[in-house]
Amino acid sequence: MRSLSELIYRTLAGIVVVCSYLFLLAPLLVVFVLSFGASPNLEFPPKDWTLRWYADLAANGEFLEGLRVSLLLGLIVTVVSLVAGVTAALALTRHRFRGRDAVIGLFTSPLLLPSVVLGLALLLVLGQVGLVGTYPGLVVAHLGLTIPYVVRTVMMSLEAVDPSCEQAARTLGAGPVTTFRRITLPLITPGLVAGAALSFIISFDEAVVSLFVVGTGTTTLPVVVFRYVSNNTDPQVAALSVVLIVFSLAAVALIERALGLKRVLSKG
Amino acid sequence: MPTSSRSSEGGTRRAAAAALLTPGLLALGVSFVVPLVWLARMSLNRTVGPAELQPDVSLSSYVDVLTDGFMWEVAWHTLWLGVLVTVLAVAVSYPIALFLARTRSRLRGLLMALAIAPLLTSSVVRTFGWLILLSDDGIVNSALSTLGIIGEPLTLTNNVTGVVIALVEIMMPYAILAMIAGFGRVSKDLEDAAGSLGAGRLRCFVRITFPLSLPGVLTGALMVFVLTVSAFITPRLMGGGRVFVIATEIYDQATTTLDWPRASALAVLLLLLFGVFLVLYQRLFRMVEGR
Amino acid sequence: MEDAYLALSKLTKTYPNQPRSAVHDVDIDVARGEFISLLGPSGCGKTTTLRMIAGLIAPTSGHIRVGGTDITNRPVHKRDMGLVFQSYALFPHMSVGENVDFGLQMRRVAKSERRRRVADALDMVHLAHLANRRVSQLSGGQAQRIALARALVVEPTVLLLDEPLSNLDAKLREELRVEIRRIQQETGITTVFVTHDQDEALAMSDRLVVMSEGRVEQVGEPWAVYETPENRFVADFIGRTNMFDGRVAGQSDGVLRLEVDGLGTLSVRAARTGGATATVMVRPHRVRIDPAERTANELKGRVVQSSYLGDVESVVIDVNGTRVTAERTHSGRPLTAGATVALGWGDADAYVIPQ
Ligand SMILES: Nc1ncnc2c1ncn2[C@@H]1O[C@H](COP(=O)(O)OP(=O)(O)OP(=O)(O)O)[C@@H](O)[C@H]1O
Ligand SMILES: [Mg+2]
Repeated sequence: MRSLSELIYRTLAGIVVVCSYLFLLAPLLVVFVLSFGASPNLEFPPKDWTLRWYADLAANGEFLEGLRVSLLLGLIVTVVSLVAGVTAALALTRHRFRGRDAVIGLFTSPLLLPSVVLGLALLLVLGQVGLVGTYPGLVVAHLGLTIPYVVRTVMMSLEAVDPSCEQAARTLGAGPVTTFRRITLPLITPGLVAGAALSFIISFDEAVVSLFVVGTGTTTLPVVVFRYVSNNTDPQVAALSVVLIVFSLAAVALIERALGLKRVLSKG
Repeated sequence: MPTSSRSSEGGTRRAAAAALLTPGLLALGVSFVVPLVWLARMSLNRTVGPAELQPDVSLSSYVDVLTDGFMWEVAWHTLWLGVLVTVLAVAVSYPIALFLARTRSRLRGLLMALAIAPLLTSSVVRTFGWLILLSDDGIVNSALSTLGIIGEPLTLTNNVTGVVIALVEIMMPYAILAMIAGFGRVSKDLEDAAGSLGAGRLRCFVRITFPLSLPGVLTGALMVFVLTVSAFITPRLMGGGRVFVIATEIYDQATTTLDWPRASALAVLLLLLFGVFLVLYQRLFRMVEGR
Repeated sequence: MEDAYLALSKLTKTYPNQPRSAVHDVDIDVARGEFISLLGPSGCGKTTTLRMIAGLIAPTSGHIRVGGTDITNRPVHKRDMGLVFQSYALFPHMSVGENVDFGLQMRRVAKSERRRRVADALDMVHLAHLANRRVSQLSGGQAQRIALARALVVEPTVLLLDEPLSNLDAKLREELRVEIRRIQQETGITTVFVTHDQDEALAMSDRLVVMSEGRVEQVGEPWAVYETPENRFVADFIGRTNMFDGRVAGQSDGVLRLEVDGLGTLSVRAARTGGATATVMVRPHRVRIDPAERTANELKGRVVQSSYLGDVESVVIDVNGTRVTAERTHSGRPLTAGATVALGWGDADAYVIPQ
């Protein structure tokens, strides 16, 4: 019977999809639940609930310091990436010049570099100029990871802007800078928002490259967590992870609203 | 003469383009081009003692690495891990990708975001989740023993098993994204057409859906493979220092042994491996697409 | 022209890596307050010319003058020209009022005066009630009116329009055509209008500039360009026409006699021509079918095809192997293919195209 086999097929397919989703989201869900569980041994499912781990977190100097470093670093990296990325995207969409394709290639290739290799390379160079463990060093280390995304999101937005709008502004008496400020900039806001959110979250979550180049006083939160988890697993880390997840979700929501997560993250 | 001022106007535009590109190129230069060149140069130096190097232009580090039996073991281990994780990740991602590519559900956007959002959460956090899930007294083991399936807890952390499970999950969003992008040609209409021609569900999948989705699968597989062979966080944390891959080796050489030429040589070799696979992949992709 | 307000001289544009220039040695003089149209087939360089005037494209050589001042090298935003685009190019992030206000803001006009002028400009296009609308909520016709108001509110020296009606449906196009002409005459602004629609150009302009492959083919008033085209291209491009090449057989009393293969000897009123051959042109509506009275040129032929178009009937007639197209305002049942008809036209109905 066709409808019965159809039903069986649909049910099976549904079960497979749901299980795949469960597998994909399992670690995040577990971390979330356990951060509220009272048992210090990460018992699942928790018998009692508590906010104790979050309170502990707020008193943990090492974590707080990491959070401070990561937030500050994320902000600086975002601002620098926006400036460098927006100008580059403008040049690449509004000007035609020889070697343009090569430059576009250059701006997107860091995306394919293994983080360990990049981390090591940065350690060697930054060590040479004494920038390991400094904010400038960390900013430089993260820029290669974030700029390509800003270039990408801003280019997406720029390509959607009708160039005759900018030309109309010019004929109405606006100089190049005014045209950019009054016309182009407002029209590429979605790209700026998505690019900024991506930059921030990539920098904020980056662990591998940072691991090579952090130092005392500039240890980022992911590195703190990495080192902590290497030795012990406890609910405080679960609580901290939830904080990190909340940051990620905020970024995801911003990007999804601005340009669409899938478009921004798909290659090519 | 107007002609001269006009060519200078073209020059102004070129200067504007150059000025606009400068900050970005400068940033990329210092954050990735210069470091890579430096790395390549470093790999040609010679190590003369612990943390002591002698500037040179020699291939001695490469010779060291390539004649070291342990390194070959690590390399094979890495490749093997890459292949295993790729196969598994593609297999578990395929249903989600296919579902997302074809569903007309109102929840599609949300489900799509749910599938790729983990990409933007720290892999440290996600690996930590797996550490909890898979530890000796973790959720998986206690569930299995409650169900009476096992007597003794399975060892799922601090070994390759845990690394594989966690990496498969961590790679899924990449695989899903790449596959959806490559699934352009898999259309529900085509399948419906095949169905109306009397093809059964299974035949329809084997004859229509799967071949059409191959380019997407290949793209996904490549993504997962290159990310897996260069993964560091998960092998390190889930492996508990007992799982050796090229990435952990590079890290140890660079930060523990302080043998920079050797670490650099390893890194260059990893990059070469990357390049080889990218080229292979492009060949393969063209073959599949060209059919 | 002595009193040219906008003057293009030897204006040439060669795009990089292009073998031929898109615009070549173009000379056009536009009088103050004149409405001039650039007309020509796609790719003939109309847009390029207009954008050079606006300053959006730098000419390869040549000069542009406005009111006697050379502005060839002046940047766009200092040219004080109003440009209206085919795609409207309204600023999507601003309201209708803000769009119109933009140019005034750039000119640092005082706020109270800006408010008044924006209101006046919107009044002029009859859209005062839309001042607070979002641009995305406008229809095509409304959007183009706003674009026009935005260009005019700053009182530019010259108004430039690049196929402003092409994105609109036929009825709106006609409506807006009248409107643009009215506003142009009210404001007395010097206007250059680009179109590839000859009806539009004929109906709106004081003068036409017919272009082809980057060159000016003819400049003149619409009737003159239509009735007395200077070359075959213009004759063919403006309106439909019959053209016959023939040998000059004689000339007397301002009437030229021409031997045309298949048609015999045709007479046409013309001044002396020097050559041994000439091309004569007859518009289809001047060709009479079964003429009641005698005409200077009388022929017989067989109907090949007849297209009934309502107000006219277009008939293709084979005369000894030469095709002649005739149009008749309708009088009953259309002709059927194969029918034999008499046709003719007067010697003043034809025109000799200067070679
Ligand atoms: N940026 C450019 N680079 C190279 N060639 C160009 C460029 N812009 C236009 N051209 C070429 O110059 C010629 C004239 O183009 P232009 O746009 O001025 O024609 P047009 O008369 O406006 O045509 P249309 O009626 O199709 O708008 C065309 O052959 C076109 O292909
Ligand atoms: Mg044009």
